[in-house]
Amino acid sequence: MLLGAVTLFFTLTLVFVIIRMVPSDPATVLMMGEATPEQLDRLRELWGLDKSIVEQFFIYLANLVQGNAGDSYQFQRVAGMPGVPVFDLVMNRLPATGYLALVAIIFSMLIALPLGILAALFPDSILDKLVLILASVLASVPAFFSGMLLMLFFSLTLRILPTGGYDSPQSVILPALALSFSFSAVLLRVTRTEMARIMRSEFIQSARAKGLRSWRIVLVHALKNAMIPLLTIIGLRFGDLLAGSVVVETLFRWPGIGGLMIDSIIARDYPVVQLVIPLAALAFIIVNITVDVLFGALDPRLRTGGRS
Amino acid sequence: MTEQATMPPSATASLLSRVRRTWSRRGMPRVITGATVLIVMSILCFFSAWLTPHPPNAVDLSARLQPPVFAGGTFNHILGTDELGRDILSRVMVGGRTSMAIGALAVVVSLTIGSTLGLLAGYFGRRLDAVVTMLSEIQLALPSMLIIFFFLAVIGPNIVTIAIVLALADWVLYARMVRARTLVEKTREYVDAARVLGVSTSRLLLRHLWPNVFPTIMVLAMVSLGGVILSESALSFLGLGVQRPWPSWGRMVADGQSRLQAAWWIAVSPAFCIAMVVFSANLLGDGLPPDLEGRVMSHIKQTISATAQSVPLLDIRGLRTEFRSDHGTVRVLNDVSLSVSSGEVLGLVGESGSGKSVTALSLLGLVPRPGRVTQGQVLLNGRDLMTMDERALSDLRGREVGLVLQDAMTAMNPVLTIGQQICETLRRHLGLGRAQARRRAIDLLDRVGIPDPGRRVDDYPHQFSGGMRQRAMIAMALSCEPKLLIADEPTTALDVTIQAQVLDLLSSLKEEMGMSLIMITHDLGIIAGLADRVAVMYAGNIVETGPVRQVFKAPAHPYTQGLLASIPSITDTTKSDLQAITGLPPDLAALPQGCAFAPRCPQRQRRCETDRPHLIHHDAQSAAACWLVDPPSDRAANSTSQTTEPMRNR
Ligand SMILES: Nc1ncnc2c1ncn2[C@@H]1O[C@H](COP(=O)(O)OP(=O)(O)O)[C@@H](O)[C@H]1O
Ligand code: SF4
Ligand SMILES: [Mg+2]
Repeated sequence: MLLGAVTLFFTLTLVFVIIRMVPSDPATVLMMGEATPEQLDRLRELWGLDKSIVEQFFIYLANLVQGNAGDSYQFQRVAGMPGVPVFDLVMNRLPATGYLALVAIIFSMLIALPLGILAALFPDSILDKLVLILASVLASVPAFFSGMLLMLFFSLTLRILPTGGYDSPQSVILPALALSFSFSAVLLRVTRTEMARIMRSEFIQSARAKGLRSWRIVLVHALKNAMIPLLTIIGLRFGDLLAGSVVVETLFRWPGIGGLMIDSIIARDYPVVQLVIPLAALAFIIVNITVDVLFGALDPRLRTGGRS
Repeated sequence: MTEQATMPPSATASLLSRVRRTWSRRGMPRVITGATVLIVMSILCFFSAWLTPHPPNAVDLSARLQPPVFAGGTFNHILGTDELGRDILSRVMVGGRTSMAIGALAVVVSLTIGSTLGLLAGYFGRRLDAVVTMLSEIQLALPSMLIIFFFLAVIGPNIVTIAIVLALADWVLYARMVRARTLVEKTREYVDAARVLGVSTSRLLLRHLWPNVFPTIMVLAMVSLGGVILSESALSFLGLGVQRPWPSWGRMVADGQSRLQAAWWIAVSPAFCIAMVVFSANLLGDGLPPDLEGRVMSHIKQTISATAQSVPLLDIRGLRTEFRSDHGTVRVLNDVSLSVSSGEVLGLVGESGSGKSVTALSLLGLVPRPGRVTQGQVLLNGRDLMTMDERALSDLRGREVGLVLQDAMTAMNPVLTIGQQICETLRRHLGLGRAQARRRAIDLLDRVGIPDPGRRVDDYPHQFSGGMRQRAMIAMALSCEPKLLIADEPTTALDVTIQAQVLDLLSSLKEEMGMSLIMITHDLGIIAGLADRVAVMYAGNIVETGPVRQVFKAPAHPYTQGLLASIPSITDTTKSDLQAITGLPPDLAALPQGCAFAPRCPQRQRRCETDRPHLIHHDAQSAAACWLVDPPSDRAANSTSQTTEPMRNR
């Protein structure tokens, strides 16, 4: 929790300072050289960029605390008109990214759990080796490449899934698959290693000595134990998923945060960047806190162990 | 150079052997494949200025959008051409220079920063260590790739900034590893010695540290090389990558994306190169587990006609269990024969490693990989368990034979409640419903003496004390009232007073339920108090068996004699010439040709070293495997040549 708060503040400050370290100026970028110096000054004044950086930072923090992240620069073409509030902008896009990440995690689990478990049950078998090779391949292929291949095959050749957008329920399938591949490579390895380790443990031996059915031993006794390291890794690698979603959203024209972030960075849209990146850090922190809470549910030793 | 010369030979040798061990473990062929691909691709890219078949920017509008040679194109443009007729292969080679240069540079930077910080933090400790640790924690608590995107977009990408920013993501890996190793090395004696002698400690430390960390650093470097190249390609794809002097692979993919349908090769060629480099780097660093020779799953079963008179409940005949590994086959059980009658308590003793637990697991068909039973019969009520399939065996486990293991903490599933673990057995074998099973579980907990069982049934194993946990384990094993209970050192992990309580409980439950018990222990005191008969194991063989009273009074085998001599309270004090067993426990991988006990045996004879003695009955109930023991018929003659034939086995 404390680490989370420190990290969040660290990110806020870092983003705020770095983006202002660069000589290029948002007003000039926005007007693309078609404005008079007076117009540019008016814009800077409107955005508060004429104040000192420390002053700006405190205004930013004070507004943020009140739930006001400012107005976007780029979604405001006419000088002097108030822009779209960044908060609305981001909140409009947030659900799409959350949805994409969630579906991608589900896909990864669907790929990784069955294969990882099978590989663990038959160590050193052909299947095990194939699974390991698959994991290496999945880990080596960049998301935009697998996304392109998926698009080429399912959209352009078979024509059964859309090439992008957010219109139909099927739209999420390809981007989520592309996003899930490298994530499932990680999960696959962890599942295999952890399941193999757990299957060798003594409590599995005694479960077998009780004559339990194999499916129960694997799916209840072993898997429940394996969920603990699996959750840990999901939490730790969630950041990679967010980064991957930037690429995948761009490729599939998915209306999420990722595309917005890239556009805003390029347009020097300070208020958007100052909200989106700390928000990503916050999401990462929240996911990891959730993982910690779930630990308690999964591992009774932590529940009464006094780790609150 | 001088550094090399003064490096002690031991350090160099240990470095080499470490590298060799690491590599052979990871499978040489994969390492060679990975390295070859990387080297070839690096050469092609870095020397592209001289190697490209065409100038990478040469526009040839007459040869626009030609497909690669394997898709109907010409050898002139092996990977085809783009919309301006530029040769893709040449462009990919030149673009690879950018991608690979960034990858290599980033790895070198993060390796240098990381290991330096790790070394300093480990060596100086205290405040510096705290700062480095804090920094790495913050970094790990951030979605670092996103921050990197941001950094680069703002700073403006070129080869050096990208490499440095990407390097920032990985320094933690090296820092943590090197710090941990340094902390270990710092406490070694040679550091103190060096200080006394006035030698520079830091120098010495570095020299010792280097061989230890080098292999791991190489592995980390390879894995992170793959990661860096992936990240760089993602950046380029998003338009945040290098444009000058040449677009990197990721940028080329992004440019080709719009023509995916008409000319897929423009985007696919560079994308495939990225995947190849990352795959090879991962293969090299991470490797795949070595091939293990294929395992034969079939069990060889001996069918020996059972001459059954009074059928014992359990009759094990000539059981042999082997563990296969890369170093060869170890015969953990050589020739184990045992029998237990109804209601009988058999004590199985022997020093640690003699094969007691493996015997228990073998007879239940639970030998862990890579072990397997290669020979022998296990007759339970006349039915041979070795010929049963897994399903039939599992019907029997827990139902007819229960197993209690030494440490209930590890033998119970930590994430299921005690009640769940008892109920599942009841439901599996007795087909009880949820509520019925729960009632029965509470009842069982009550019977093994757990106070407030209605509440404790929902507790998890870690909430029980050691003694209570072992009682619960017993309740679990006894839940279906098996005919035979195998208790493998059930009290070794408990303290003495609790031990006595658990033993009392076991013996009273045994009486109550009328079951048989195999009590595995290395504590002869427990055997004396509890068992009817005893079987002594040594190096995978039963070396002596008989009624407890008789074996304790007149042990026939020198090993049993030694065992008893080492416990003064039980030994007959008149046999003071017998000493506790000297010498080392046997190495199962290299047993002597003759009697396995021969190297430690005070009564060893010449033939003991060449011929292996078999278990021979010396009276109706007792048997021993020793050349000193004569079968009853030969007692008078005291012949040595006629006793080679085992009476009980085969
Ligand atoms: N999983 C295993 N892999 C390889 N060797 C094993 C394994 N389990 C046991 N062994 C070997 O079998 C021998 C007997 O072990 P065990 O039956 O556990 O002895 P104990 O009499 O102490 O119970 C030991 O030498 C041990 O090295
Ligand atoms: S056979 Fe020989 S070496 Fe083995 S126990 Fe008997 S006397 Fe000792
Ligand atoms: Mg044991």
